[in-house]
Amino acid sequence: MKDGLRQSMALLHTWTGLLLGWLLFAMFATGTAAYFQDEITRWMQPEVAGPSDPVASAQGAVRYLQRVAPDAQSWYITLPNARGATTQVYWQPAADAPPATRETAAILDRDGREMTARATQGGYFLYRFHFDLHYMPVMWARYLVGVAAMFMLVAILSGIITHKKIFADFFMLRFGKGQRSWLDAHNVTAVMALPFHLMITFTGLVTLASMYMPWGIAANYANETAYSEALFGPYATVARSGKGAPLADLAPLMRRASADWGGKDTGIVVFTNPGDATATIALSRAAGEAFGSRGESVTFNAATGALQGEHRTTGAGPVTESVMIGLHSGRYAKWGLRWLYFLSGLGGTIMVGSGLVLWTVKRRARLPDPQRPHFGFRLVERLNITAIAGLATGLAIYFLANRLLPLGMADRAEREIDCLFLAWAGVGLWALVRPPLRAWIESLALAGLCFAAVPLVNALTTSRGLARSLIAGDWTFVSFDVVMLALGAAFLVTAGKVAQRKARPDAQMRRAGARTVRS
Amino acid sequence: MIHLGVLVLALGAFVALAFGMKRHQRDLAGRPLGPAASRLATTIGWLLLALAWALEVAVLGPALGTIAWIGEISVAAWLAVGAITWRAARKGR
Repeated sequence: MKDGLRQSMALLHTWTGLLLGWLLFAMFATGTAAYFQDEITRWMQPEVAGPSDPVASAQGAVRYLQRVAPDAQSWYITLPNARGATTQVYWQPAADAPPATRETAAILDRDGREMTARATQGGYFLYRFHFDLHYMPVMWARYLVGVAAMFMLVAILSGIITHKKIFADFFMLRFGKGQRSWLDAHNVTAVMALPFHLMITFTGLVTLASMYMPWGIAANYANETAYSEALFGPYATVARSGKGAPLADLAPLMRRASADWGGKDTGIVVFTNPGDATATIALSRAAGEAFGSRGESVTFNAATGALQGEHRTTGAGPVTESVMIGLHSGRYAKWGLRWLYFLSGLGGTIMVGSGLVLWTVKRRARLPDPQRPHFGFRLVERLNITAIAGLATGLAIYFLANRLLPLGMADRAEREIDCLFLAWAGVGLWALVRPPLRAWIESLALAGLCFAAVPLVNALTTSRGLARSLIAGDWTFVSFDVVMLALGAAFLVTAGKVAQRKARPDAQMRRAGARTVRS
Repeated sequence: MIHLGVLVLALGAFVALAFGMKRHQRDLAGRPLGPAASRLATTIGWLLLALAWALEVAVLGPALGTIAWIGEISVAAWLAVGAITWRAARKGR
């Protein structure tokens, strides 16, 4: 009975893991990188330097918007957090504005000047790719990602039952033993961060739960608006009165909000009807200041600075959801905890990757003719190379493209992303035409070389190379370059190990032969 | 600073837990330990983990402390795996 359960769980684990493992690998890898999305963006805009200042940035943004869009319906200002340096502004043009005013967004520096830094999506792209993918409708991507996350949850739970020795072999990691080593690596990366893997998969599903299961909302609220008003407070658009009024200074309002929230900073400032007597200013708490992703907000009369309303998330359901999403995205984490998130995510990425490799390693020995495997085996083998080494190469190329593409290029940010996918597809094609073992060695080595090239190209093309940032104590840049070097070394060493194994295929074949005879 | 302290405590905890496991005793102690010594090592290991948690919670509060503790014991466990693997490889030579 017990063995029956274990066997059925093993089946479940193997196939749920394999079927969406390739997608999960990409989600884990880019999601892990996204814990440092602000730092990655800073690295990808080397022109931007200096610390951030929320109050000065907000005032600068207001000056910019007063000049560019004085009669807009609303202004939406995202302030830099302690890790970023740029302010993002969006505005909704006046209803009667000529259609020529097409630009409705800008990235500003601390003084409210439009940024002259290179166009890039930076770390934000990796964050969005992690659940929206790319080159496909966002809704499809989110359903696909949701199915993958569900499979992941199944794979984790069935994996705990399948790999019964994970706790008995807690500290076991044996190198150079073929299948046994891959199993060890899979177990160690899985079990060491098991609480993290469970948490991240479950909370990941929670982030999009109301999209996957809209029936709760549909059954209880007349429409979407009623639901969001119940959750976020009433929302009404007031027509402009036509009577002008000056804007109150933001600094005291931000200080007052911060005092109300126990010292937490403002992250988002929204103006409605700016410049009009009916104008309001809504301040929302910065995401990085507390666990919950849904923060408090407070609304002021923009002319007088009088308090108009306050809102905070209440009720067990919304608060639980808010904290779970906060726990998933880790925006609250200071740098120590952020690195722990990153390392756990890296462990998860290796867990998924080693699981994928394990599928082929386990089956290779049992193939009727190991020289000519059947179609399914060849497909999995090649998809593994593409998913693991291909994505790694693509990410390194994304960073290299950021430094190497001409600065004035049209649609530059989108071209950087194209480079990532071109490199990824290139490795995929390479894996198709080369013998699998050779393809593994070559593509892993390529990924390693590309990662190692990133700090080198950075030093050659900017004034913020590793040596200089070390001297300047610029830890964001130092860390980025060091992580690139570490990834480069890890991929090159892995390529070397695989090449060593290839050098003695006789022993491998003999062992495989012996195993077939026994079974 | 608290992170580093907890990391060291947790690393000690996992090494103690490894001492309590038959599999690792040969590599770590050079010989199998008796049941009493094994049980002692396991107890010390769990106590150290609990102490690390209590310390973290005292400094960072129950919520943040527990989250940081989970992250730190994961890293400590990886370090312990590295140390044990390294030692076993040296012994094996």
